[in-house]
Amino acid sequence: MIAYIIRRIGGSIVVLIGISIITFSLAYLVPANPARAIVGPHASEALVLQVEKQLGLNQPLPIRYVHYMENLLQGNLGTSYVLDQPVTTLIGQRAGATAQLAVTAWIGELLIGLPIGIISALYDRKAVDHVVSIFALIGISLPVFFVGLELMYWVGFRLGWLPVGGSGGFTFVILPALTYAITGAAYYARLLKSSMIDVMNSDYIRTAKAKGASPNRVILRHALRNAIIPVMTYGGIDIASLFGGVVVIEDVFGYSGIGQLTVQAINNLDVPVIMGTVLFAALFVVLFNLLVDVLYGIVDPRITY
Amino acid sequence: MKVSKMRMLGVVASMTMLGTALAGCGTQSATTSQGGTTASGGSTQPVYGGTLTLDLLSQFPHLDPAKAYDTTSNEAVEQFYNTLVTYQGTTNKIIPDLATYTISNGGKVYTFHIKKAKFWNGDPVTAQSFITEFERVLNNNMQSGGQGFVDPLIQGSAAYVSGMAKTVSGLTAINNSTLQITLMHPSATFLYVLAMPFFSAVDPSYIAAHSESYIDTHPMGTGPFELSSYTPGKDYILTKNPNYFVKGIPYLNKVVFNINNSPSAVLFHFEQGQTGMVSWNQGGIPTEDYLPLSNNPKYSGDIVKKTEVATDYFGLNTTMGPTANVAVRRALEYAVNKQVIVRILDGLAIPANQIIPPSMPSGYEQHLPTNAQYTYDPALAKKLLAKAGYPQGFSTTIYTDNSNPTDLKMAEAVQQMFAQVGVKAQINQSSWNTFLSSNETGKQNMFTLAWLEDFPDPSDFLNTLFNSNQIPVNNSTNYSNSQVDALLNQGALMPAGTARDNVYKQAQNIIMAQAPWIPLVYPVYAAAVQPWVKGFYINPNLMDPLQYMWIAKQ
Amino acid sequence: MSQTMMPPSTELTQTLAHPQGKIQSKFVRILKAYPLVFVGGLMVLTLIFVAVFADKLAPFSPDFQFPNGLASNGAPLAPNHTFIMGTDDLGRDVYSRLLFGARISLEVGVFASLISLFIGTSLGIISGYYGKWIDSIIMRITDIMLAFPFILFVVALVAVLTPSVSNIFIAIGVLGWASTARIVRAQVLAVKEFEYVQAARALGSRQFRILFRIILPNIMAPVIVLTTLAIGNNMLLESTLSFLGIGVQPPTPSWGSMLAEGQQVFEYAPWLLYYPGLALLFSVLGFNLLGDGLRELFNPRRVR
Repeated sequence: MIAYIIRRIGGSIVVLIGISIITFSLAYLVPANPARAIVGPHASEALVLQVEKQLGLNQPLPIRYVHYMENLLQGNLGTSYVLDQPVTTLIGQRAGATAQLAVTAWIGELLIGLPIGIISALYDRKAVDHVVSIFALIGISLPVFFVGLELMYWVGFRLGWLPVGGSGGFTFVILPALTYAITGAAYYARLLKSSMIDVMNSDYIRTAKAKGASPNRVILRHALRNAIIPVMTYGGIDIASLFGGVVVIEDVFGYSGIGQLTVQAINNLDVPVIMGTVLFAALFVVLFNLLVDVLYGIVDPRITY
Repeated sequence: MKVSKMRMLGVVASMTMLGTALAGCGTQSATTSQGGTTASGGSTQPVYGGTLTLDLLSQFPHLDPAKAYDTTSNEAVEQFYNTLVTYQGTTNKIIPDLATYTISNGGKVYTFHIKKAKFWNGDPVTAQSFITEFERVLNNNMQSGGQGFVDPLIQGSAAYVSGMAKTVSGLTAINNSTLQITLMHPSATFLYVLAMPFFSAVDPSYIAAHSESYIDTHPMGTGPFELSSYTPGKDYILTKNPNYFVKGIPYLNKVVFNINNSPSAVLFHFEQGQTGMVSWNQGGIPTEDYLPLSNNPKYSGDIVKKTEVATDYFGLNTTMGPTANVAVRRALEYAVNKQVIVRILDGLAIPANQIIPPSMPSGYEQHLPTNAQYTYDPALAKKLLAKAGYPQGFSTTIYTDNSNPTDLKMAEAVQQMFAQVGVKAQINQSSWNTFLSSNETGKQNMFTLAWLEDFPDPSDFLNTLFNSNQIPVNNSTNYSNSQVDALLNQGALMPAGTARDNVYKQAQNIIMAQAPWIPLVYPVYAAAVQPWVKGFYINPNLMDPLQYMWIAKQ
Repeated sequence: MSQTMMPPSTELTQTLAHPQGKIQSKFVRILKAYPLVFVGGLMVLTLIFVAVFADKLAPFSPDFQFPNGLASNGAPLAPNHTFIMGTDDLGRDVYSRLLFGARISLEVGVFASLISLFIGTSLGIISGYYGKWIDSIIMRITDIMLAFPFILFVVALVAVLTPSVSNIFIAIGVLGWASTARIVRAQVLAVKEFEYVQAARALGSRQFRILFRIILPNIMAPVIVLTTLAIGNNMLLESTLSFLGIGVQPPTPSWGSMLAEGQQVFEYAPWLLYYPGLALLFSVLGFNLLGDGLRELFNPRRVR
């Protein structure tokens, strides 16, 4: 087990280095000169050159990468070209808001997705199954910005029940979280349904039924518990990617989180921020993957390493 | 300043490159049906107190006046800081702000007598407060967009920039309250430059005590409002400066800027009455929000409009591709129906026939010479194209950016107009920054852009955009004409007046006859103001006049 | 936007390895048990029909800006006799754009999915079949791809490449293969252990024969399901790119770009948002129903 964990950590580090290289190359393919963007059109060519030098843009790519990694290992992600603040500060300012949204959105998904999954597994191939499945599928068949805008307009503006956009207390989180939940719940439903049917057809559940265990007890104690494992795997990756920023939804609702920061940075070609936020998001995915793998071992002792 | 068309929203508003303090100017007076929304027009007495809440589409990129060169930042900087001189009311007229002034020695020496004023921390404003700021703007390490406006104009600035001198010889503190600025040559636009927020009073001891990044987020000024708190991602709260050097203002106790990067939410908030106005720092009401607001009887009377000192244009590369041929460029001028573009923009524009907008105090020509005047005539365009050697037309690319829907609409409209005369254009749309970088290499065949004044003088359009020494960064059509260069260089040294105006008109006539631009429209800027918000007006060069505004509700 | 599949079942492939003929006879029974596959399939066929015959069905050119297509104040026209779904803010016929948009959206969805399918299947087979260090390298790269925030990655790549229909499906396709590779690899690992594969190897069958004649057919079922679902997902992704301002180059009508335009004005011109929204919902739902249905259909535990 310990050896396995160490091996997995080693693998994760390789993955993170790979990500940093890809992000770095992509960011520097960007066909724009940040120096001119910083100083404006009235600046002299000399000032532009000076700024390029300050940003280290006149050095060859590999050297820039080495500098970047040196800084990275000291926890320094560089400074935003546009906002002129350290990237770590910018991410730090938004991490709390994104975490709040991420957890709420994730719980929302589970609250909608899991019951639908259970119901459609229990009423497999019956009308109830078809109806709830279609509802869940409609959710994942719509663009998130469309769902977000409709919720914003009807619930926020016309009904006035919730703030239409912006950031603040928990009330500002509900609509964006609901948008994510609606557009993501079907993945959980789908996964839980097929996993539950697999489990319910398995020998030990049949045995339990044969022994006369009550159906509810079978479903809850045995089937659900075993069927939840693949759902857990997906859930881990899902919330990890949420922590990295809820990209489009934050943009729609004007919610000041990491996702919005990233989208703005991509539009502004603010290279240090793009690299910082992408690395941050990837870090979460890698960490949660690791965590899920370890948890897997604890929940399901049949898995050996 | 190069801007994407009319609207500076969201991501774009946070670009340092983008807007300018001096966005949009107009000679039309604000059109309001309710007198209360103009500065002087209110029949009721201003009321003190209250809080004004506004939506902000992104955080303020900069709060340091030396670094602020975009409309979003300037919205804040103008509330926190004061300059030597400023603009009066809705006009382009320069009036004293922190100092009265005299000009001597043939327009080369400016002497400023500084008023009694204090920074928020109690330190007095002195001549050194300005000298420090000039030196900061000139310092290469500050990466200030203001450097190009005063270097090499101020005597000794070049030596200071290059590090050969420790001080700027043209900046002298005669005593604590007298500042003397000596220029290399007379300049008709220097007072306009001084009204830019770059050259605000800063507290030298505060500057010395704090790091640049701290100063950029923690302003220390003389302005009507102080920054009392900033919650990243949420809001900025501004409170009244009780010791403001202008007696009797501001009226408001508090201004709250909610950070809310969602154009749809901005409109909904306004319609719900949560915010006081949709205006300047958001680049006015976006065209797509203009119709719902102007059609809404609740607000149709509260929309303030003003023609900007700006021109939306279509650039034709004068050194590359078929448009290198002047006959082709002239032919294309006849292919564009500007009335259609005005309609596409929901009427928030005026058809353009020349580079200088009519809202510019000088330089606009009532009557253009016939060879510089073009009317919509697709048949003639086709004939001229054939004559120029393109009877079948040609293929080309129109470059545009994705920062707002208006740019794209114009590009698509022109694309169809060109198609009707046989020119097949492809649209290449990219993010604002990608677009700009490519634009500034001078290698785009055709592009849509707008130019928004830095200050109300024709030189800011003609010299910046058509002088061959500006190729390719600002002069991205690569337009080069020695006669025009000579006129523009001559005008830069002349005192303001008719003779100078005529020099610029002459230059514009030559340029228009050679058609590096198709001027499309002069954008109209519109703001929506709640009926209970009073005192709002649009100065063509400044941001929202929060210090003169008050709330009549409750 | 993740393209998750349930963990592959080894029994699934075992079942599919042998019986071929029985599926036909079960057709009617399957339709009764899984009516949604049928519905989904019809929806997808409708979409394909519209996309193929868009130029025959559309009353107007999708790009033409009608002089009479705008009200005098510049507002788009609501649905009427001439323009049955109204006009957009440049005076173009929404109905014609919608029909042609089916073509673009389907093109992006299908080509992007085919690219990921090709890359993912190739790498998955190589990885699973050869194992050892090749497997380690490919799986490590797969991990890297999966750890990336997918949307951001696509957005960044499209922004760098400059947006166009082909760049969009290339970006989505080239970046979206990782989950396919993983699933294919797992299938290959399972199939490899079958006795007859082992036997074929022992008898010295040539490698490509084993790969293409035996292994490939056996992993088709999950791959088809995955690809069907991916087409729908990629159509949605195209609309997201348009929303972020880096969709297909105008004036090309894609449903994504129409939605992105519509959302700006939907308060006073709701038809600009709702028609493309419904079209997209219809198509993506079709692919999702079909994909989910096929998955159940292919699942050996379900068809008995």
